[in-house]
Amino acid sequence: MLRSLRNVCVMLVMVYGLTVMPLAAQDLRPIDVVPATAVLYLEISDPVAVMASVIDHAVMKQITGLDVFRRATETPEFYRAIAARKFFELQMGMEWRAAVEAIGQKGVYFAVDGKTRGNILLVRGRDEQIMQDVRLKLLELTRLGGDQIRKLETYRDIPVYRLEKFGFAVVRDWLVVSNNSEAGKLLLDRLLDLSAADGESLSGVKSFGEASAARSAEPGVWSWVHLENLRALGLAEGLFAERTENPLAELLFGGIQSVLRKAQWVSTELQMTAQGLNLKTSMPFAADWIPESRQWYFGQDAQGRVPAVPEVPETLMTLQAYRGVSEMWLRAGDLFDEQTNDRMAEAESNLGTIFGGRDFGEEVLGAFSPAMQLLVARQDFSEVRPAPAIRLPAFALILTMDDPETMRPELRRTFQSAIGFFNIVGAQQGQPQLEMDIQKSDVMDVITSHYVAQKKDQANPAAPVIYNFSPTAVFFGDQFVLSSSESLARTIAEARRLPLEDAHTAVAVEGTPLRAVLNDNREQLISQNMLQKGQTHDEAEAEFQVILQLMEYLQNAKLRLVPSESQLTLEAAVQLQATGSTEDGSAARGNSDGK
Amino acid sequence: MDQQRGVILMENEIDGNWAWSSFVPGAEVPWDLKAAAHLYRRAGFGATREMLENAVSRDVCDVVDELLSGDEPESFRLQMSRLAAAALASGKAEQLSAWWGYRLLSTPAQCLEKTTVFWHGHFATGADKVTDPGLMLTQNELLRLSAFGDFGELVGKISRDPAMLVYLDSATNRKAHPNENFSRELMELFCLGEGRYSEVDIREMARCFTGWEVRRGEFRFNRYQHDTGVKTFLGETGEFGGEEAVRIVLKQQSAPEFVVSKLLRFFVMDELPQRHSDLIEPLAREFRETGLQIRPVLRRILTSRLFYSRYSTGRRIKSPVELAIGLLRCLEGTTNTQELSESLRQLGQGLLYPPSVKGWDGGRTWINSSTLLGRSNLVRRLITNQNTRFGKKSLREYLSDQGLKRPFEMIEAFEKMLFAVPIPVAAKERIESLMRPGTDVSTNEGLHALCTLPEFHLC
Amino acid sequence: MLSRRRFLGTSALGSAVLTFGGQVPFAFGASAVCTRSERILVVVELQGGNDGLNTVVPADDPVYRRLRPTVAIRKEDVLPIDQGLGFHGALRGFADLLEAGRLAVISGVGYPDPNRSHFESMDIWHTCQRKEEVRTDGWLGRWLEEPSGSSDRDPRALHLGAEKLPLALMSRTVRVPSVRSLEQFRLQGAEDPKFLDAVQALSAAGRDGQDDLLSFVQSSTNSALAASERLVTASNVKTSSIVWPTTQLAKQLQTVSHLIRSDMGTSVYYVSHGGFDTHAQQPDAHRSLLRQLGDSVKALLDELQESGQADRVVVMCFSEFGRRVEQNASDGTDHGTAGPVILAGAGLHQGLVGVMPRLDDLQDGDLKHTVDFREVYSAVINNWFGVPSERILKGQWMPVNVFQTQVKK
Repeated sequence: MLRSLRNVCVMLVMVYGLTVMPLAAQDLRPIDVVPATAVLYLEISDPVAVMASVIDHAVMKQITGLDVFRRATETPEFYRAIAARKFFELQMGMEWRAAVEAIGQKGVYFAVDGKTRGNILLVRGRDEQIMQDVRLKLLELTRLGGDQIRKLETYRDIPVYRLEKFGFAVVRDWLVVSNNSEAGKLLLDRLLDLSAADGESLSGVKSFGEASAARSAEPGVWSWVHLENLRALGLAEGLFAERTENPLAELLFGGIQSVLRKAQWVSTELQMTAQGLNLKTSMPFAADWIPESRQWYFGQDAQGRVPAVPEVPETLMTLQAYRGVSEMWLRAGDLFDEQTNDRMAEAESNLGTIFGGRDFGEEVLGAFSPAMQLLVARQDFSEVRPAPAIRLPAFALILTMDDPETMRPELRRTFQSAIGFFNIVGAQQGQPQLEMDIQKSDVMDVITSHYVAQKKDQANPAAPVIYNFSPTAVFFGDQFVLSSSESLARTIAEARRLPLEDAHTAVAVEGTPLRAVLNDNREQLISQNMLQKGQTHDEAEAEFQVILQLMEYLQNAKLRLVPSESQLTLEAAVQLQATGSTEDGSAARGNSDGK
Repeated sequence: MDQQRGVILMENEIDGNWAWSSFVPGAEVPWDLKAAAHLYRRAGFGATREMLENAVSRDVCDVVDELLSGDEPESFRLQMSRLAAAALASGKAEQLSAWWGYRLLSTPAQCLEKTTVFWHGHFATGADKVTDPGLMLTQNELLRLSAFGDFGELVGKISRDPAMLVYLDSATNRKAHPNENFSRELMELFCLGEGRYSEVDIREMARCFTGWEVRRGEFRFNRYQHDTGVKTFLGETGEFGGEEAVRIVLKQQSAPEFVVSKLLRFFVMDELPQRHSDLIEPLAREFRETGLQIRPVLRRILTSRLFYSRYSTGRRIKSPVELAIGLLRCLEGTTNTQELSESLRQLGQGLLYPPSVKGWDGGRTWINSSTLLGRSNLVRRLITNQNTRFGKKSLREYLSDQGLKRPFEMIEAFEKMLFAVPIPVAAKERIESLMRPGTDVSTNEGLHALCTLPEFHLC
Repeated sequence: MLSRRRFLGTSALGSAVLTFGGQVPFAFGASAVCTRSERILVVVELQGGNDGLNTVVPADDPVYRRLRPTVAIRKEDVLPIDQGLGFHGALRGFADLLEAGRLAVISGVGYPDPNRSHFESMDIWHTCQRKEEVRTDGWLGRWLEEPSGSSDRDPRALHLGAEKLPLALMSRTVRVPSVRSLEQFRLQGAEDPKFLDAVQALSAAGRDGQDDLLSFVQSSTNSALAASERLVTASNVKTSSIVWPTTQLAKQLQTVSHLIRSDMGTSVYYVSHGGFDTHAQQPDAHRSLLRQLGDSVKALLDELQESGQADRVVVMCFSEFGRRVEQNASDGTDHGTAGPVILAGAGLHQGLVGVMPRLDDLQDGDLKHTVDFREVYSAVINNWFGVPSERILKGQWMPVNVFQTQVKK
């Protein structure tokens, strides 16, 4: 017990080091100290603010205040952590947060040096006083722990200590930790000599300057990776491979992979704000970096953009993307190895069978323009008969036809062939049959299909999952909607479109409908949990309740990939809401109270 | 007893009168923890130490009657049927199989559940072929409801059970082409046994079942397809329908003998003595005299001298279900029953997945080099699975709460609950030396090592 | 010969020398390996209806070219066999085996009144019975019911894969295990030598007395632990210069090879290779499927040859039906009738066996079969396994003359 407490403390102290009063007027910045050969640099320049943005966040306070949260965290590990914290507070003689803030007040920095392959951690404390304190505590722990920490040597009158794989030392208000003595010495030299940018530190690296120019002023975590250097050193080769060899990975990231092979750097910024969590990754970009075989990814001159999103009530997820899928399919020979191409050939044969003998790559995929989207929305089951026990959300694929006049009848027949195929397969397996219907109006053609309820299902309030589906195709203008449910297809066709977003790929998830869908399947999910974890109904229900409550704080989450003339940016944002009193939430709680 | 066990080879013959007289605990066979553990392993799947201690403090007959009451609280039944409905919603029979695993682990009426497993093997029907898991559930509920009841009534219901008819390709049965499958299995596998009927009997009886059909998941009698003519089989002649056919089959002398000997092989001994008619006869007579009531015959078996004698203890090989469910139930274990039911299937006893209409042969057929490794690996997976908890705790914590902290104490407790025959002393010592006190890993390892011993597989 | 297993059985049970605690004289693992002689059949089921005419191609036949304008294999892409027939170019593995005298092609295999449903036709091949009959077991299942004459505790047949057990392996009395991975044959926890030593010693040590049931379980446990150990340590298993393809079929056959080379006492291995239902865009898909087939079977036989086990192994590839002679409008082919069965391995008459159905004498546009599939089974059962086939095949079927000698086992 004492041993593990001590380990925890050593770690804490190590992370937040200590300092003496600044001796010189000139104030060194960490980027003046970190060598120019660094391949990764990460900084938290204002840890106090970052910590406050998390710990004092309204949502965080609510979550930690929840009964369920307290119950869930009352584990032996939790108590061990609490004990470790107490021990730390006792050692430092102050409350843990104040101690941590004091130790890391002027920043925490981490770097990986490509030349020496050494990892470097720099921590700059509030003042010399507290750092002295930390150093003494560290030495005390050394004595307690016998030989675990040992004084290695003295370097230029600075004592250097060693703990298993890394060593550390304190210079004025800086704590230096490194697993590589060469890198460590270099840092100590610079700190001691107050020798700033001499072209050999990060501050003199051009691409570092480019990247930091684009930073925001908000406190957070910022990191920078020197791709050019990584490539030169032959590190992380997987990142710079020419091909993915995996159609799904290619579809998702193919173009980004090409950019990574050319871009000099990539930077990432992470911030916690009152609204939530933001992550932004940027890298240099030029349209002509993309090879011909991957033109389908960003489009001509990287001008490919997502389509407009229809405004559909209770949408829980949307995904819009610009991807020339047909071209990718047809270029598979250039993009993938032989085995993958073989698998795609087999898939093409099967898909050809489903689509009435049409060539999948050319005639099916090729009918659409690359701007596409997938929309998932909660289904309203009040009209669905028989009502399935598992209540899946409905989803729809929304595509734009290149040549609506020609494609409309073609696709209509393709859809009919596919439904026919499902009916043949379904009949062989004793599944219900799909009945088709076509309605044409001036503005749209709707081809619906519905499962004809089998007798045993007609009055079944918990019918098989298949009744979630009423596959429907809608044509209007140049738009083609293929949906798992008729009602969603119609809603989309009639919906107002939201303003166009300047993005190449965008994903959004909405918290409230997502929670509602979970709640729709409450008993199912609880039962699933019982069978998977062997829990009782009460235990499984309590666990479900926790998930539902935590979900209440999620307002939405968004991801966007935006290419501009000179930069490629990936933005992710999670919006949190600090209120627990939405209708669904209270209904859910009412249920559990009434039980 | 232990000294004797060494020289026992199965005798040729066992005296029926001795066998079925009531068990009287005595010096030779006392009513102790070992005997109680045997009763629970056979009549159910196994009991915790607390249950065993409680059982020993009571009369044997009380304990047997409690087991045979088959009482499940209403709330439990309701919860199980809700869980079954949720399992069905997925449309996958595997989920229903997992549901049954959950039920086997959690029911307070383990003898009822064990007997339901017996009938499932007897009236074997496989979800692979039936495809509609709803029909499998209906049959499963029928088997449970009738498990202790009237055998004749059970056969009658089974012969109209949609899952059974689908499984035996009898979902349509036309006058012009009577399906002989059902009448063959009715005699061969359900009621009489091979050689107790002729091919002519099969053909004639098949005509009685013409017009018995399954339409949209339900039994229906199609009178247009029913052969109303005169049939002659098993020595009787008449314009019989299906009900009469079942009645006539059950009237046969061999029917109670057949069922009783199957019950004996399931509850008492894998291998009956070479000459066993004397052993079977008194019990078969009793079965007939009570009108083929199942509960009384089970009671006779479970309170008999034979059941507690050396002819019974350790004379069976654990089926995969007995092995896994037993291990867990003895230690209040709960686990991921989806994985459990999948593992049982791989070991050849998938619940709702019998290998053929003949059900499970049991006994030595459970054992080959692949299944033995599978059994050992299943035990390890069960113990170390992150979802497996023993009384909501880790195995070590669970044992420690019962005051079992030192390895040899644990081994002694495992032996009492899980082993039908003694573990060699040297084996206990060697395994004890593997176990360091106070760590979860070595407690698990010790139990796994014990369960890899040949003795563990005997029941 | 005193087999290793018999030795194991007697020594573990009878000998008074063996006691708990001491060293166990019985050695597990590689040193105990004896090379087996039992014959092995590996069945590769091609699911979906393999296009026989594009597998064994009548490249010179004008009817073939005329009826298959876009699907026919070009003559220059065919690997010649004989009599104007040749393998699809992707079957380089088969062509090599043929060259080495280790492969036979039986053309035109089918059955009367052919059924064109995948399920029904496959069931016919598996059971040798039609829908009207009661089908509860398969031909291999019935073969398993024959007394094996071996006291072996290893399963006599194994099915590789996660899908349900093929009907062919169903028996009313013998249950065939399905294998998803080699892990199933390895004792978990055996990586800890203390645990493994304890478990092996304890299971092998003599017991007091003579409990027959316990003895049975004990000797089986010893067999099982030895099998698990051999899987890791058998010298045959350790050395292989074969580079296997990375496809699913290759992985399964690699497992088969591993099991055979670790002296598993199994006689029948069953694997499936799906995707042959090529109604549309057939050429690329079929090429890929055939390449996987040829390359994997060749890798299997080469690896077994290397370890000196190839003399006792035959691979049989079959499909539920061939495809129609005339292609359809989607560059594919629809369900047909007869097709080739390919046998590869030891003791075969190399090359073409049987008569290729004529393309100018079709029945409703389909090939007329020239060999009944039961005649192929009969050859396997009678000539390869040396067992009478009448009960197993539910009738008298003359074996196809495909094995070199009508050997007894």
